[in-house]
Amino acid sequence: MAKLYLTMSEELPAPVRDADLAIWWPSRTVSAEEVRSWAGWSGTYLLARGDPDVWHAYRPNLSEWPSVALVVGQGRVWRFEKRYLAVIDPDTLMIPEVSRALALAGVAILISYGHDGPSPFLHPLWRAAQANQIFALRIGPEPRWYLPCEVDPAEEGVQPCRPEPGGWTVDFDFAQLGDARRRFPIQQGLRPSLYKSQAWWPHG
Amino acid sequence: MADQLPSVARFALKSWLSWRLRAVPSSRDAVHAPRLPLPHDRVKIGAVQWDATPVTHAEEWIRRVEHLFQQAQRTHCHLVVFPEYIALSLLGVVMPQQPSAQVLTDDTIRPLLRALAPAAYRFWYRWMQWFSRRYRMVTVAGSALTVHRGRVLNVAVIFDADGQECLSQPKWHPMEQEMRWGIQPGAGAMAPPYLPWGLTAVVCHDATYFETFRMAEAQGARIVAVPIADPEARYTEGKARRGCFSRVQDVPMVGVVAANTGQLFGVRLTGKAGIYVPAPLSPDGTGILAESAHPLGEGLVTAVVSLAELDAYRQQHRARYPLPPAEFLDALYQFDEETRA
Repeated sequence: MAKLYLTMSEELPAPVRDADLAIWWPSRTVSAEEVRSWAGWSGTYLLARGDPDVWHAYRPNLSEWPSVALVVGQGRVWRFEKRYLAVIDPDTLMIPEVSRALALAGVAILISYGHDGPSPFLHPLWRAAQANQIFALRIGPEPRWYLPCEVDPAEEGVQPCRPEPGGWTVDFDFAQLGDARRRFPIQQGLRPSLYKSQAWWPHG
Repeated sequence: MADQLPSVARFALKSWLSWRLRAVPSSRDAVHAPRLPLPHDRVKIGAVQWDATPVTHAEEWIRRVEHLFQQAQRTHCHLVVFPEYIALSLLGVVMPQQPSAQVLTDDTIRPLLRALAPAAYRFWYRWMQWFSRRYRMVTVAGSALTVHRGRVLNVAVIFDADGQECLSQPKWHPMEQEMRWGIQPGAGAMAPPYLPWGLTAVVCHDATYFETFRMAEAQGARIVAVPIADPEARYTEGKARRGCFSRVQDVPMVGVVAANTGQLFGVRLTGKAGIYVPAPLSPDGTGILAESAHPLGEGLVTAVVSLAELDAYRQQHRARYPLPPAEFLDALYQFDEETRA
């Protein structure tokens, strides 16, 4: 079981010592120095939003946490606990091929932002989580954790994040994704030969 | 897999079913409605929710199907969509009535379906074709099992308002349970959609995959009918929303779900008939134009869709969210199905 901590505070929050991953998402621009000082006492993987499309990312030992940019759309991918996590902008999420490619490449957590709209099932992150059986975090006024319906006790595939002083937390277990894929195998049902034979994209 | 049904039993059941399903539509008094031109923009659609409980007489099945056609006619529908496996209720005419006999194992279902599917398919096809002509209604007849070149396929069929078949589409992504029952995935290319609406049909689990809708869109589809029979004992909105509803948000289309519900040989089915569009095209922003109130039971929900509004929205959507380049997609689908299975 792993723990994700999210804070949207404008200033550094109180220490969170048992988180495996912390995300700092203030509305203002934060500097690398501020993030490093925070990392000094939190001792966890850290992601913080700097300027738009700039991310400050550190490992628990304060070394830089390297990432790669998406080849299509806006977003970055980090290696995390033998899997990957990706931050992706909402417009890119609207192209379902991107999250399909990320999931097939091993991304297990997708992070984006925005509002639910009239229903949580309308957010493209929820769709990406269901279509690819991965976890997803929507950052916003009421953050949501999306997970495959098969491993959600309510079978809705969406849970509120748990409020904590200064932010929210989510407990998750990557083993749940394997469980969901065994119970409702979507990836095994993909038919690449059919898709290539009736490609909706121009043949190269 | 062990064949738990002796061939003599299969033959007897097959003959018995053919006999019980011998009713043919009357050639007299066939047409029950005037022939009207099809609208090009505002199309009224009816989506059927069906109670799967096996029938004891074929006439009961015919009467219920006709009642739904009449409802669609009364509400001035141009198009009516029936659910997946609607013909399986017909197997009740040869099944013993004891509750224990209504629960079948995978090993029993497999040979049973292969033996009985063709007779049920012929009956379903014949009557749906006749009703579509009788009520002058474009009809997505749902889907039924058939044996084609030795392979059991789950096929959706569309009839035009003259009762002519205009599209036949096998299910491309059978569920794991269906594979255990011997149902194989369709292999052929998607047929061109029915014009002028750009109507096509894909079957149930096909709508779990946005790829299906991309292929349909590339063929010119604008309305995708999705006959379903979800083997979910408990209906939840989340599970229901991850099919057609989500796909029309990914790939802008009108999605029409017709749902088979109730108990069918020990399998509990739940689902709601519904008509879905991209959220900005629905008056309340929910993406839902019509949906049945309960995930069990029988009835019809209807809505009017504007294809002109859909076309305008699609143009904007394509401009804002373009397809990734060809080399990206070539790479995405380079893996081998066998190694992933």
